[in-house]
Amino acid sequence: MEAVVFFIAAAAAIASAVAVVAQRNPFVSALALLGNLVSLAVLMLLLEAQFVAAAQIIVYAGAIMVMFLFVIAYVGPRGEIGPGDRRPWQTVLAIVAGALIAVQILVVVLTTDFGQATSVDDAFGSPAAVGEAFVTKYVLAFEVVSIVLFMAAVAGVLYGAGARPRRLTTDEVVAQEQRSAEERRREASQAALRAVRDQEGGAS
Amino acid sequence: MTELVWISLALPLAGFLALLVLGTRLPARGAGWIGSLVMLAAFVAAAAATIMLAGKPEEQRQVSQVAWTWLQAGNFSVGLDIWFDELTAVMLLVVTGIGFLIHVFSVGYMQGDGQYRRFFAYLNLFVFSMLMLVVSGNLVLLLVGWGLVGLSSYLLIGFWHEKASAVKAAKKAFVMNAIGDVGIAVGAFLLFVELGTLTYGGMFARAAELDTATATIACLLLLVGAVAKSAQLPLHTWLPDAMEGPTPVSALIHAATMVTAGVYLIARFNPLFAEAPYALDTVIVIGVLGLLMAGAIAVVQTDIKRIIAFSTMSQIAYMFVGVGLSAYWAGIFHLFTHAFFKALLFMGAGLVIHALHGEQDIRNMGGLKRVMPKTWFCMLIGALALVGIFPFSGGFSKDAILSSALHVGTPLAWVAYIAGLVGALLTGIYTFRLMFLVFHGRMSPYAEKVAPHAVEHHGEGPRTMLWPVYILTIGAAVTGLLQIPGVTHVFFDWLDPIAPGGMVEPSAPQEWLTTGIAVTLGLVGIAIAAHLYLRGSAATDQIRLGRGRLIAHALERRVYWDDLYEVVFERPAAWAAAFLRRDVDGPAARWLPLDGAGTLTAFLGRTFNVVENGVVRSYALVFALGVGGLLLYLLVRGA
Amino acid sequence: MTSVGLPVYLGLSAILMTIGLIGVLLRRSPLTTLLSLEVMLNSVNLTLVAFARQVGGTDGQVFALVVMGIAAAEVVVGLGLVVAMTRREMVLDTDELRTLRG
Repeated sequence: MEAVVFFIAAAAAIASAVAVVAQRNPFVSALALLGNLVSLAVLMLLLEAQFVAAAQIIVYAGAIMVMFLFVIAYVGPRGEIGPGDRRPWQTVLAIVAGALIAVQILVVVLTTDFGQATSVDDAFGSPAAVGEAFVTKYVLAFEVVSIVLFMAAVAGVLYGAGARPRRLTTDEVVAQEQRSAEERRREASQAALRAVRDQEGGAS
Repeated sequence: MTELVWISLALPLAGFLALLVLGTRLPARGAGWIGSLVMLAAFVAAAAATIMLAGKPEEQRQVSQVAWTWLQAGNFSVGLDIWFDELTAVMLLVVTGIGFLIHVFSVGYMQGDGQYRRFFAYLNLFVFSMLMLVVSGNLVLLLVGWGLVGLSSYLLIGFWHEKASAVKAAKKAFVMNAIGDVGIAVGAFLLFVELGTLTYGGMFARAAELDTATATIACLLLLVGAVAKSAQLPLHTWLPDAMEGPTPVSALIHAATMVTAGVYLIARFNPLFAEAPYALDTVIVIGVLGLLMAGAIAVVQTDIKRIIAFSTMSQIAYMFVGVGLSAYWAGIFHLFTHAFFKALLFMGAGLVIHALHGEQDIRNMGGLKRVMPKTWFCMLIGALALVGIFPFSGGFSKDAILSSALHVGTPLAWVAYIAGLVGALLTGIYTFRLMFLVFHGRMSPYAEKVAPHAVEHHGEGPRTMLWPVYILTIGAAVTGLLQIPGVTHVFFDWLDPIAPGGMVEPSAPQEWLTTGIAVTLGLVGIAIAAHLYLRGSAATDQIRLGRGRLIAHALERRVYWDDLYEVVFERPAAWAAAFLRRDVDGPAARWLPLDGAGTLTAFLGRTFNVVENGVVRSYALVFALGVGGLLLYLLVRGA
Repeated sequence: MTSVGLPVYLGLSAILMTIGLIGVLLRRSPLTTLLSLEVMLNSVNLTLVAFARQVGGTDGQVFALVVMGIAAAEVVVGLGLVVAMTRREMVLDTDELRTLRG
């Protein structure tokens, strides 16, 4: 029974991942990624990671994907790029690199004996267990992630706010000053160069 | 109480950082007012701290506090610590109080300058550095403040960096100060080796363990720093050139605060100097030579600010004589009154320069009393204080120094006494030469064209410039009354505890006798100046000097110090550099394959430039290939 | 995991990772690039959770959650850039952004 669920979910995950990468329309890609996330959540449930699976659905599928869809809708048809790659080498080498990495990982993984999985009780992967690890052992990581998220939010707002009108008066003043300083420096260095050349000409 | 000192120290730094960060986002005037308000707050904090200090019993008035240790190596540790006692309090009040007035003055003076904000940022940085210097509780921190003061002075002298002469003057000041910094640093090494600590408390407690030779060397090294910062012989040549900076800078840095740091240093380290009588004698000798030479040079200068600059050098030489005689209170007292009247004179000169659209040559002035009566009156008070006419401030403090010499009575002290009296005569001459040539007599054609027009339109200056001048005028008139011989005794009593070895204090008759002679000589000087310069216009000045042409020439060349340095240091260095360049470096570059490294680098750069095509995707591809290759290597090696 | 062993999960994860990688390397639309990145991050999450189950500790699950947080941050910045590009009327093609060229 478990094996059946696994293979269905795994096939769905691979198929949806291929769809994410292959689709021309980013909207379809995003929906395919949604399918990928859900199938991965099923796999995580099989691995008895209930909380992570729930977070996967709620946070990822619920929040992040919604943001993606918003932006894709905002960008509209400009998000689509026609076919035709001007870099044939890029395509060939990309497939070579991907195959190289995949084959090597598969070789290693399938030839290694990992032994039997530990048997775990019902509490494993519950919100209580994960939460406890988060606020005790990994409290620093927790805080760092929150700070990174905060900074990312600020950055997102700044980028999204776009170009503000320039404050021309001060900028112009600064630019002018810099330009004149630059000119003076150039003049001085040229004068010095000339002097050196003259001297050398006189010496030789 | 120490919290207030920290606040006072931190405020200018905060102002500097705020101006630096906000920068052009501030309106120009706002920057000036931020800088000024910060200074006012710092002054209030300093005053409150001083009042609290005064409320304590005398033996508890030396407070030190360590914020944290920021340097530790073996048994050597340096903390961020402050040392707050009576001397610190005086310096703190002078720096923040005079500093505040000069900030306000600058609001008006620098108006219209495109670099207004930068100016106030630098001013605040300077005040922070100076406060750091005076409140530091150990020699290392003092050296930090010392260096920062040199840096901010460099920035402010070269403030008008489009003027080549200003940049040159700034460099000169920085190099001269760097010599002094080295002196203090080496002195600090020596003291640490001998005493094992660099905190004031620790050093002074163990000062008696030093033998005379070590103490003398250490004190002379400290003296190198003091001489450089205070523009005394033989490292004085930067001060007159430093007048290239804006006038408020001259008032703040080159009259009231920075140049007095050397005097502060000697007074602060008096327990060490007490162990080194020869070092103290050296201080006196430097002071005597400096006060005579600078006073004489001031008589022939034609730039209004340079006259005051040489006067500053001369007055600081008086302070050196004072601290050299172990009359630390008298030296610091003169420092205190000098800060008022010299800042006043500089700011008055600033008003004149302002009205004349930047003209600084006194030969292009004359007769300005008619158009600028307020400026004339304020500068007259300042001039009288400088000459030391009773009852204005400068007289009390200068006579305190001279009568201390009389009280000590050694041959060297007698020399200092007589030199000081001659100096008083010179002071009278050059000060009133300035006053007469600028404010009296016939107006020069240039002044006639510019000054009445300017004053008619703007008055003698904006209110922000006039009010600080008024306040300083009051200060210059009355601060001397703190210490009237035989009557009030405030300054001596306040500073008495800072010198554990005791201080020289002359008796009241000695003081009154000295005052009598000095005032008479000062009046004689004024009379000479009146005889020579009162009639006729400023242009006749040069003709009068024609009589003693040789001396006049020497004085106009500032006794050839600059020429000496040029011949001794500048020309050989330039010659050596030219020689190395032409006859060593040039042939070597021509005959050896020295450009091989450059050629190889350029070749490699061109080769690998192909990878840098700017397409992010292909960067990611290189990364992925790298990961694949690395995995392959690990697999093969593992197998 | 009783019937399906850890190697199978890891193999699946490797395949997903490679698909995402090829997407990042081949697609020129920044939106699709970001979506492919999400696929890669998710495959790593699967690995972490599978290993957590194997050794019976919560560490891997905590890491998976951290990866989710970082992924969220990355998406915010990436999408912010896309929005900024759109507002500046720039072509949404990563190959056109070549200021990095040396």
